[in-house]
Amino acid sequence: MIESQRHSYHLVDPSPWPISGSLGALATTVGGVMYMHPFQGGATLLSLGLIFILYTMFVWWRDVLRESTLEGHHTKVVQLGLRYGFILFIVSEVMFFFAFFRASFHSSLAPTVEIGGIWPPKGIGVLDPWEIPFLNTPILLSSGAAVTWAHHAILAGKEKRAVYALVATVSLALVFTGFQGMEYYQAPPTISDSIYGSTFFLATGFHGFHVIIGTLFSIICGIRQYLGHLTKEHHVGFEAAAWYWHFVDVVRLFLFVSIYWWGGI
Amino acid sequence: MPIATGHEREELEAELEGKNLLDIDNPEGPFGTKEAPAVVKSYYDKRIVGCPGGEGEDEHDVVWFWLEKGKPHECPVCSQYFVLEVVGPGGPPDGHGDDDHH
Repeated sequence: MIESQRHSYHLVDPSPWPISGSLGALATTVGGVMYMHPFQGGATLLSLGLIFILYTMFVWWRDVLRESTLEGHHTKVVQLGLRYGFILFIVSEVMFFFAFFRASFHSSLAPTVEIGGIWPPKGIGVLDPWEIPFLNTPILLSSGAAVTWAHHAILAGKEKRAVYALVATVSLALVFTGFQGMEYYQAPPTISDSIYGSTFFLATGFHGFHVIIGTLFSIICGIRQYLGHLTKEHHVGFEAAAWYWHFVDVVRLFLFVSIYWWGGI
Repeated sequence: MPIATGHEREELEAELEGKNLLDIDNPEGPFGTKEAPAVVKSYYDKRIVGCPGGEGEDEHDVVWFWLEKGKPHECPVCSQYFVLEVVGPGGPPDGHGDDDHH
């Protein structure tokens, strides 16, 4: 047998997406600053930058899917590298959220005189943790259980059942996001209502944003599962989505316990 | 055979046949002497090889050299003796005349 290459690594072809993503990021940050200060054209530049980034994300990941599924570049050792890379990404995400929890505890453990020396701050209305927050937590955890169901279905080679399980995962995720939207709509504080609103909406808002990213990731996995891209031997994309989803679950647990419950009663 | 294509498929096919595509890499064995040289396999007529010296105390920093077909090499540091065994198509390893255009 003559192999197509003498090593197992994936030497990627030149690609325009790193530079297009960088230009998109530059336009987004500069446009964002202009938009938030008295400059003309900030909204236009910000929108262009975001469109550029979204386009880059689409075509870059499309290329990765082609390289793995259609060109067979993702050998065992390449898959291992992708897993390590994704684990490091999730570690960096944990640190990102750690900062918000630190900010919240910094303000709540020793409340300053400006907010009445108490937490929640004097005069700030807060959400009852035993209403939507308590309902939404098991909804997201159930979604995490459903993604494990999908994982077992893939490992057992039950392709159709894996699609059903991913539909369940995504449906529960959408219910969560719907309730979260409702909660924000009805929430007594706003992001500018004292340090309470700032830390609350920063932490829960970024968590909600990550739920939306994880939902999109799971939707892509569902489509790829339906198209037969994922096999029981090779499903790195699904594994990454599942790890991401469990990470979002764990963040939700900490949010509920420390910010909604401990910090809201 | 699971669904796979390209080099991923070659790797899986070799595995099913009980082979490892990277078999010729990381060669190990007893210290090569003139009588019993260390045999390094190569797909082409020459290959870059590194000599780490002998076991334990006799180890030295890796010395890299080109090992060519029919031209045994003696390590200038520890005098380990190497010969090249061509197991592939032979010819130059630099890709000229290769069918894989990149």
